[in-house]
Amino acid sequence: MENQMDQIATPVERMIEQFSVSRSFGEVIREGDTAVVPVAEVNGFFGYGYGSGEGPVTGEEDDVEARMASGGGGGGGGRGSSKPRGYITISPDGVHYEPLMDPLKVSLAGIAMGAWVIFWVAMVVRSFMKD
Amino acid sequence: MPELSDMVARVDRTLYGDPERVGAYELQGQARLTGWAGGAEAAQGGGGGAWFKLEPTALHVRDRDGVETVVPVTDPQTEALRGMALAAAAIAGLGVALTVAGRIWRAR
Repeated sequence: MENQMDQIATPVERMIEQFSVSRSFGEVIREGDTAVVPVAEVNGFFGYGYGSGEGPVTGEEDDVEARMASGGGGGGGGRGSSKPRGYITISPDGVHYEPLMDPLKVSLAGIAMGAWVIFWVAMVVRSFMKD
Repeated sequence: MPELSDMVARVDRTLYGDPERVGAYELQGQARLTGWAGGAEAAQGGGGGAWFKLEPTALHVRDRDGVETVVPVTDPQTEALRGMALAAAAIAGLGVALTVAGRIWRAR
């Protein structure tokens, strides 16, 4: 069992090693006295599998070993994505982090929230009203 | 054959980048790696998979005097959306309770 865990851990550990901090903090972009470091969130997933087998071959061979056949295969796949979070500005004034916001997403969420509140207020008022 | 669920492990690590000098400052990034990894192995086959998320959490800034400042890397948008989702769930819970109370009150 421990050996099996080691075998599994190896490709997973290899994948984990790929995630270094430099994936989240981009290269420093310099412009005069100011430098900017882009910051991003990274997501990724992957999977792999393999198998092998052997079995008898229907033939006329006399040799026992020649009547056995074996095969194997494997595969894997994965996906990664990066979402910008903001940027860090480094200037003689100091170091500041500026987060990125998607106003449309926040606005839509706010509108949905308002509609949700109105819906529940209507439901509660209706439940208290006499027929 | 071992069950996949027997070999699932949660990953939660804090990672630090290599210090880099930019102007008068030395910068060192800090990120949090979270996720799940698992798999199963047997004599004739096996497989595994993992999901990971790498989130920047802070930037350590050291000036020439050696004074260190930690600049937190926040995600106000996700925090706002999460707050709204929690508020929506709370409103739904309160709404259900009040609706049931209203129906009981109306039935009396």
